[in-house]
Amino acid sequence: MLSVNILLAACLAYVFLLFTVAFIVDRRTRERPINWLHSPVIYTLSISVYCTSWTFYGAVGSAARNGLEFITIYLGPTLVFVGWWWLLRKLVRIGRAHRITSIADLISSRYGKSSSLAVLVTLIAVTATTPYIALQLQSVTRSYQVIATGADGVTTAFWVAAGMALFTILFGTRNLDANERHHGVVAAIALEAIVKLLALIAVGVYATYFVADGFADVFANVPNEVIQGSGDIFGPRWIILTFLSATAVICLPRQFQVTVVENIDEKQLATASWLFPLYLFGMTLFIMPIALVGLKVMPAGANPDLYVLTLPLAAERNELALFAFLGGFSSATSMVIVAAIAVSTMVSNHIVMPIALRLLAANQAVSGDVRNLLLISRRVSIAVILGLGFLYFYVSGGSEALAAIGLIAFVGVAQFLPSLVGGIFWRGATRIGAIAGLIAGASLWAYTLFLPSFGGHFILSSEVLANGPWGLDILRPQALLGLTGLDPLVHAVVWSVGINALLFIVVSCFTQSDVLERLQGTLFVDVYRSAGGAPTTQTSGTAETEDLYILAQRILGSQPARDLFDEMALAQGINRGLPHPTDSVILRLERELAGSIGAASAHAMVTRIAGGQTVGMSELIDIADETQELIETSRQLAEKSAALERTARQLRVVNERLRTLDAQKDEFLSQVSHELRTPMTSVRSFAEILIENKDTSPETASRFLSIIHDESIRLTRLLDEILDISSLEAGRTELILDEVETHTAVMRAIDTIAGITHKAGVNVEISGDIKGLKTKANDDRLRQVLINILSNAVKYNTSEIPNIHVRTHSSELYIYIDIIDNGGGVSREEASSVFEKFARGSSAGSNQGAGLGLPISRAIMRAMNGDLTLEFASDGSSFFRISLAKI
Amino acid sequence: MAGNSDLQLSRRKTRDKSVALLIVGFILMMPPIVRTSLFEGSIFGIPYTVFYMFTVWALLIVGAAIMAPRLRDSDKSREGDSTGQGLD
Repeated sequence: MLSVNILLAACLAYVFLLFTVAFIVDRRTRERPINWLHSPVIYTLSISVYCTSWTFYGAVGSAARNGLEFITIYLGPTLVFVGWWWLLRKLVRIGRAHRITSIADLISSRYGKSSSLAVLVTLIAVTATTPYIALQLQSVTRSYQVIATGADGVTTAFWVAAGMALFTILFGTRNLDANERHHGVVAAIALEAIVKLLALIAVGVYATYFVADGFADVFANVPNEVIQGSGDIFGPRWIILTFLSATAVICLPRQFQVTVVENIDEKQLATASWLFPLYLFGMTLFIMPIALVGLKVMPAGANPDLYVLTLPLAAERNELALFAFLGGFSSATSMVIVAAIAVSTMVSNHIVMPIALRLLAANQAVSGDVRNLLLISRRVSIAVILGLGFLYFYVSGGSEALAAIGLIAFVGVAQFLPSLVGGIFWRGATRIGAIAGLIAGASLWAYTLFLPSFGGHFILSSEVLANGPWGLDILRPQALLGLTGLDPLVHAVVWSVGINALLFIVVSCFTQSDVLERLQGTLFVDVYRSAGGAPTTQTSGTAETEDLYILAQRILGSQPARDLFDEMALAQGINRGLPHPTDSVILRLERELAGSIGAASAHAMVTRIAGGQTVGMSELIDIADETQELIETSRQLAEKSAALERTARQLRVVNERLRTLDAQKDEFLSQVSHELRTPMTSVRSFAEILIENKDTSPETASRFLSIIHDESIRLTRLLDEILDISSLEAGRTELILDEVETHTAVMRAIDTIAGITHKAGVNVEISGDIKGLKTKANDDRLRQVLINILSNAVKYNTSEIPNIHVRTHSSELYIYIDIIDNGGGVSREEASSVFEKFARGSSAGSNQGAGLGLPISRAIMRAMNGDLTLEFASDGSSFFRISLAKI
Repeated sequence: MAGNSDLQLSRRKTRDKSVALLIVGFILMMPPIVRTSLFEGSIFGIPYTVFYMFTVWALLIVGAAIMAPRLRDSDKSREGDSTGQGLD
């Protein structure tokens, strides 16, 4: 038999080794980072804290009782890690970006840094972890009792608990490092992981190859029921167990601690994705053989839960038994240490600190060092949690099946799953939804599984268990709403996780999230998108940097706080003194503090000092996700395209005008050349005749010469007119304007053309009285216009008894001279073209002039601030109207 | 840009494969498929059910080990990816 003294000595030596490793690593990392500690292997080994004494002892017991079913507990984590890319990677990224300290911190952070959620999650975690710790105490005690028969279980458990509390306090609260990393602890845990793996394999190899004769012998003559268990092994329980274990490896506070919080480099996950399943594979490979050999070799009454230890003991293999004991001890202690750190962080950050800070805030005189307070609160929390575990062990007296307690804890933490996964993948998840789901799920878990596990000795009596409260059959805890025929575990999972997820989704759909919550939700869901997860939030208020500095000193300690503020001041270009309390400074500080005391508390403290509203306008704009960006973009696009359309329309109009002008120019040119060509041709032909026919009679020659002379004059006049109109239209001709008495001007013009009118037999009639009315005009030019219009009226008059009526009248601003003739007039169709160059009235005969008279006249009138227009009388006849500005 | 899109395509393929691995592993280990291992008999003296479970498990680990470095590298140069899209 293994002597108790040797066992105790070995235990103490082992514990001393753990302390030494943790101490050295902790001290060394303070000086500089230790490279091998960043290795993915160490990371993976620390994750193997999943394998507790429940695996070490309990899995063998489970295999002996239920066959292969124990394997589900390792299948779930295997699937989760194989699929690391889709969930774990995101959790780790969020954890690093937002300095998450625990699963409670993550959930509360996601839902708007809600402290109520943090407290809720913490309470559930404590409730689920306490029995689990008790289980570890129990297994260490049991295994100790196997060797030290007659040792008092309670005393042993007490000393084990005290020792673990000491270790955890020493190495788990040495520093309030940002990000809550505990290098010393991780190193010790990794060492323990190796010890427990080797111990289990050693016992397995011994059982398989020394007690039995290889695998074939182990399985020889084993009835199928032993391997497949009684009943249907691959039923709902198989699925539920796999689901639970998959959930547990994410949601258990200690797993979250080692996987997310202690993660140093995201790439470690890639290695862990296969190395951790491999570790589990190694742990479970020999469990079945040990169980089967134990069943064959050990006496009928032996506890299968302790086969790992009793099998070597029975054969007097003391060294192996000692090794096995240390393996079990390792798996128990590592779990307890990490769980205590994880849960105490939650308790201290989310329950103790907020209360303490409120008390401090109420009593400003006691401005204690928050840093010390934090350390004390964390140490007390660790002691309290281990105390609770011990108490549970003491009260429950150690229930028989170890595995049951583990599964109860699994279902408890599975309540976090909907809020956790929903929170990081679904932006619409709200705080109220999470709270509703968690409360309902946790209550159902307590009612259908946790409380019934006391077998009617705690709160729920056996009477209630059997018949339901107040005899209401429908409320029986293990057959809720008459749901019978299910395994109690499956029943509890279906109800608690089912209702939890359902409420979470439905309530989320019907509630609104506040601004900070939406912001956090977006940051979490889109963690890959925001570079480094730097949120662009925070307080817009009038923060006093000094207050913030004092706060930082209290929590981070004076030197780190000074370093931090110096760094931030330097970044702002301030060499001495404190930085300006900009949003980024406040944000940075909040994140640094969050690494020590959790996001909710850090947020509460910083906002209390920074004051003002939590989220300002600029953050609201940040929250504007792609939808809003899209709306903005499409609005700008619409604006741009409208502007483009306007421009295009204007361009079309301008283009049209240009085309018209171009056509007019071409026409003008061809008209000009035509008009010039006619006289030029006659000049040339008469000149040629004169040159070639020397014998032309002097009379004929002189007639020809006079024609040439006339044509030349006409050409000159035409060219003069063209020059005149172009200079008038271009505004190059400066007309000198004088005061002109209109009536006199009109009479003089009529006198001038008296010769023509007389010759044509046209009667000119004058009406109206504009005597004494003056205008500003160039007298000669005005006469030119009047003569032009009057002579036109004479020239184009085709009437039998031609008559011209010059009607003068005036309005307030203008003097009008209407020249009305009874000739053909101008039709409405022609009206638009009469002022075009080279246009002639349809009634005009050939060779009547170049058709530049009217355009020139109008250009002159306009140059004198007057106008020449074609008007239509009520009977359809047309007349020309000369308007002159009155002075 | 052809090289770049090839790279993206191969990354997408890598991720697809990792999902396929996960789904195949899940299906093989969950009822009803896992029931195919229920027939009596043994391989190398190990009951068929036990052999089946551990073999599938081992293959899953090997698959994950092959996929892990590729997946890790596919994350190196590209931070944003489809998994960050959320489920709105």
